Amino acid sequence: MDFHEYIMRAHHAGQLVIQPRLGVPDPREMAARLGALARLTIPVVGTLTVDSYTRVGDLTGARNAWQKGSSLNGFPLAMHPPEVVRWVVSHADSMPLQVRHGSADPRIVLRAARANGITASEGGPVSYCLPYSRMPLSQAVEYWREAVQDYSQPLAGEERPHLETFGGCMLGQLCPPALLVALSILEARFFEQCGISSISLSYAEQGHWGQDVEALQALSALASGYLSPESAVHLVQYSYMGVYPGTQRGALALGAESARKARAGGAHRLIVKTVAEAHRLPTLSENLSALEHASAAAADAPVEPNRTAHDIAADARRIVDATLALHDDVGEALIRAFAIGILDVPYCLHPDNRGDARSTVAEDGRVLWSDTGAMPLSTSRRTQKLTSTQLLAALTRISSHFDAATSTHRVAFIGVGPRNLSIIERIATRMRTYASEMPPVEILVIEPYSPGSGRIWRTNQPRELLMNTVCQEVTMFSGPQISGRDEPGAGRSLAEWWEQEHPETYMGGNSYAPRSLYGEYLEHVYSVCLASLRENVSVTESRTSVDTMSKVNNIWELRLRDGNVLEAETVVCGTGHPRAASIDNPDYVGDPKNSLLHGDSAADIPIDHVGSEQKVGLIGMGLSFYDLMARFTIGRGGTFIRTSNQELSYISSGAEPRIYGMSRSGLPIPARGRNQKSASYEYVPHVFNQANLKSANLEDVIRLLEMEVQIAHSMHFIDDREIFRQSLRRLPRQASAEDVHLLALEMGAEHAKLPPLKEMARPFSGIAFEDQTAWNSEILQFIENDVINAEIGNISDPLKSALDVIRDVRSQLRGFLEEGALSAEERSVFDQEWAPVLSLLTAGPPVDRVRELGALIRAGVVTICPPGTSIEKQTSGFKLRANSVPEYGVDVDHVIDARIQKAVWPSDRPDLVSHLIGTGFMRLWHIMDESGSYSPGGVDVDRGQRAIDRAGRVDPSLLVVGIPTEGKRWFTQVGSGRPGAWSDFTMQADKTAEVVISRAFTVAHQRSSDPERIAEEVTR
Amino acid sequence: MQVTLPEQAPRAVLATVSSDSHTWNLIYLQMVLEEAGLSVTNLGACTPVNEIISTLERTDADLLVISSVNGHGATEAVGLIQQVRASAYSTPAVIGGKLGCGDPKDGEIPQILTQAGFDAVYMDGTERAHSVIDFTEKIRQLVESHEIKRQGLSHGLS
Repeated sequence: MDFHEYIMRAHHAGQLVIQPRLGVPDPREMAARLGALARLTIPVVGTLTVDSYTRVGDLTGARNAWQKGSSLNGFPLAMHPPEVVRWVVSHADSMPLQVRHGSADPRIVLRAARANGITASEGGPVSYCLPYSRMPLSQAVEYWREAVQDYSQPLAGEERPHLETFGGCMLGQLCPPALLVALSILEARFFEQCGISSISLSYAEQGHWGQDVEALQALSALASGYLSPESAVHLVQYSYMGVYPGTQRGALALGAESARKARAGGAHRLIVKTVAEAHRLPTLSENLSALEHASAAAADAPVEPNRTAHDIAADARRIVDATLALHDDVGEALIRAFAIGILDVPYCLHPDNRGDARSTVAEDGRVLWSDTGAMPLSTSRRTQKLTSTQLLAALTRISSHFDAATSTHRVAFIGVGPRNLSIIERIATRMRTYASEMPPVEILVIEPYSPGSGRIWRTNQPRELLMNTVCQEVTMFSGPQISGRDEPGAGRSLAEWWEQEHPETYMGGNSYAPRSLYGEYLEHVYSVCLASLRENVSVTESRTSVDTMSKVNNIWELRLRDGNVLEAETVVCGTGHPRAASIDNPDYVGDPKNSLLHGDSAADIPIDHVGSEQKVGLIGMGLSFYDLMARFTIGRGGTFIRTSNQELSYISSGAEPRIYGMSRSGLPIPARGRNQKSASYEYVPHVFNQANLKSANLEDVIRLLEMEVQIAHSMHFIDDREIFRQSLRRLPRQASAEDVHLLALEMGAEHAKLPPLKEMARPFSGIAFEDQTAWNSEILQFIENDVINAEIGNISDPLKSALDVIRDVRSQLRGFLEEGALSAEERSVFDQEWAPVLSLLTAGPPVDRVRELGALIRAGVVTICPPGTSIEKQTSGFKLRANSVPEYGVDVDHVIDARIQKAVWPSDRPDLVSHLIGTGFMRLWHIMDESGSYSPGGVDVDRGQRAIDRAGRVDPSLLVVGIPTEGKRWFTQVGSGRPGAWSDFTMQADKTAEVVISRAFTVAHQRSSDPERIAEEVTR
Repeated sequence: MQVTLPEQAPRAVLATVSSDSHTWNLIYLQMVLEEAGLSVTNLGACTPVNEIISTLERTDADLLVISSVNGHGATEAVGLIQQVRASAYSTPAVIGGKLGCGDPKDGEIPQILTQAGFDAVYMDGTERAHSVIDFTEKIRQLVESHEIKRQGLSHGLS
């Protein structure tokens, strides 16, 4: 039966004709499939798709492949003997057949079709040249002209030769419908000119219901205006040609929508895809069920009234008119239209395509022009080009949408303190730009304390515990506020927020916020991020911790402390500081009134058992020492007042114990200089820079660091700093701090020399003191001097400004350490010997804390033990002894280890990271070389924070951030970003966010089959 | 993000193997490379090898990127890179995509391609191939090393 007649008959009966893509090399198999199609009771058109050798006219290639038994990707129509082909065709019975190919030069294929009695084919001089071939367009036009003129000759006893335009399918997707409609019409005009009078006009649905329906209606409207009334014309819709949903349900849903849309828009025929097509060539039964499914879906779909909302018809007419005006011959007009950009297919790389025009997908799914190039459209447009990420999102939008019906990407954030919050903030920020293209995401927040603040920054901790960074240098938003309200990527710093939300307690940008206040700020940031997430992102919170986790079929099963089990495709482990074992189970020595406690966050150390009349020894005089000191004094009702001579004095509450501070050096960590640096301050190192650090060893690093510190110090004693800077550049490569000093000396700086860093950190090393009194006055003097230096400030005071440089070059030092350039031995020495020195010299508390310490010493509440104090366990309590003071001996009731324990896994207390190391999902990071093997104690991750498992494989489903990665990363205890240029903290957060987001896409694609299919599918 | 390139941006030539008619992969990679700061000459579908070589010569490129998704990439790219290297182009070259057709021997492809002259292989199925971060970092390194080499050469000549 006549191809067109058959289709119109079904149409008048209210039925959509369905057509599969079909082509297998073996004649028997091909015949069987055609036979099965012909036996269906629904109206169906059969297909013979030729193989890729035949497509390019390489019949020898086809024959060789066939004889060698290699698989051909279609039916070699021109290779099989005519009687074989005729035998195959006979199985179609009365079902019409169409030959499909893809040839820029269709002469062989079309001749073979007619020679075998097949009178329907498809393609076009533009649509089979530009996307797939390198043939010049003018050449393709000539080949097509010759082939179609030949093909269109009527033969006695045969039906009218039919051709379908492929111009409505250019590149499969991301082509605005007006151009597709115009190209379909123009190729139809070309066919008419070559003698064809039975034509179908194609249109590949782009994904938006309304736009596609309007496009089909426009195609119909233009057909009656531009094509000859003598021609028989029908419309054919192609089911979505882009990346197809990978899930069965998603693919079926898209197939059904496609069929209903074809009917609604007035198409007569529908070319379908099968559910299996996402993965492989479909089987016969899959072909059949796809056809029946589509036919059933179309059966009850109403035809929609005309839509004209977006002027698709008007724009298509402009394009067609402008093209046809270029030449009377349509082929010549097409060539010229492409040459001057009246026709310009977005993303088409063919040299004859101008490539000025660009398209994009709007939020609602419509394909729009982002750049109209030179095309004669009703509106011209120049907007921003898509980014690569947006392109990928646009290409996978439909499959993601339909797959969403069945699956959501679940990302579990285990432990949501600052580190994971910073990642959530970057995800929220990035999602604001392309949330609608994202596969649906469920964020699982698992945090036993409040999400955002976590344990360390929880809001219910004692108010006297302060941060160690001034509030204006702290932010958790990755950019400054711009719209008058906080949004992800644009919000207030801690100082700005504090000033506006709690003006009554705000004391300026250089003051130190209580940790509980920072916790409140973090929770605010968290809620801002949550509020910004769109409807395809959901958040589920679990106020508990994860005990164990395991992987089942590539999905993580998280077993929660509360007994629930959660599943997630991706896990971001940000569990932070491990808890010290003895906090839950104190190591009581005899009487519980006498206890030894091991360190933890100062807020988490129980101190209520230490009575007011008792003595407590604190091991370590770092930041936690000051925190505990504050809790024992201010926290128990004591106050500080200024006396008439401006000295600080402590007013006892009577509830504080006697405190004994002890450490190896005898030195309480000195104050950080009062901040004089603005939030945007950036230090440019003189010598401690990337160039000098390249291929440095540990000795070089320390040498460069001491030089940098000495330079900063010398600057204060030199009049002509510019000349000094210039002379520094002339120092030899192996110069030392001593050389810097000598240079400064030459320029008259007599007092500029600083001791080596280690000496500064151990000022009392090797000194013996006559007695306790001598020591007391020595340490008090030291503390009072320190307060004076710190008050002068971290720019003005020579010493404090020099030491502050170590903070300023932390990023360079981090970069160096994370490159892994140190040998195992060197890194071990750095961690054991140098890291504590740098920390002692730079990580100081606010100067007020040190001033308070002085007052407490004077009040007799705090005693600093001499250097080298050791602890002896007694039957009741402990005895403190010191080797630097003869006959020193103090009895104390309790000892608290106030050193922040270096996180080392696996830990003595069950925790998630230890569990994952034990089960092989993570491994410790090691340096292994000829100098030995060394592990700082943290786990191994790649640059994207993805865990590396025991076998050395990167696990993209498990990310680890912050403290558990200490070692591979450095100085991960930083818990805040800085306003201004992104700090390492924020850069890391952004990078990790990118990994999480691209993982959501990757998983979505993998589910649908494999990622390269994106590229592969969309062109065919 | 609008990509504006400095005049002296490093130059990349982007192409595929001669049997591969897919283009979305090339379009996507062009964007990725441009966003990484390179200026890109995209040679489009079914690139003949001689066109790749003449373009390397004409543009004095810093990087050659080959992307293929039709499953014949591994076979054809060996000859491709050998011809490029035989023409005395030391331009860093990377290849990626669906390079094999699902054969059990596909695991050997990265090594074969590296031996043939590619500097990095991003083959489908390896996690590396799905990480834009790793890819852009690698090309940055390659371009940098090529620039250093180039500077070294020009110093040597002067």
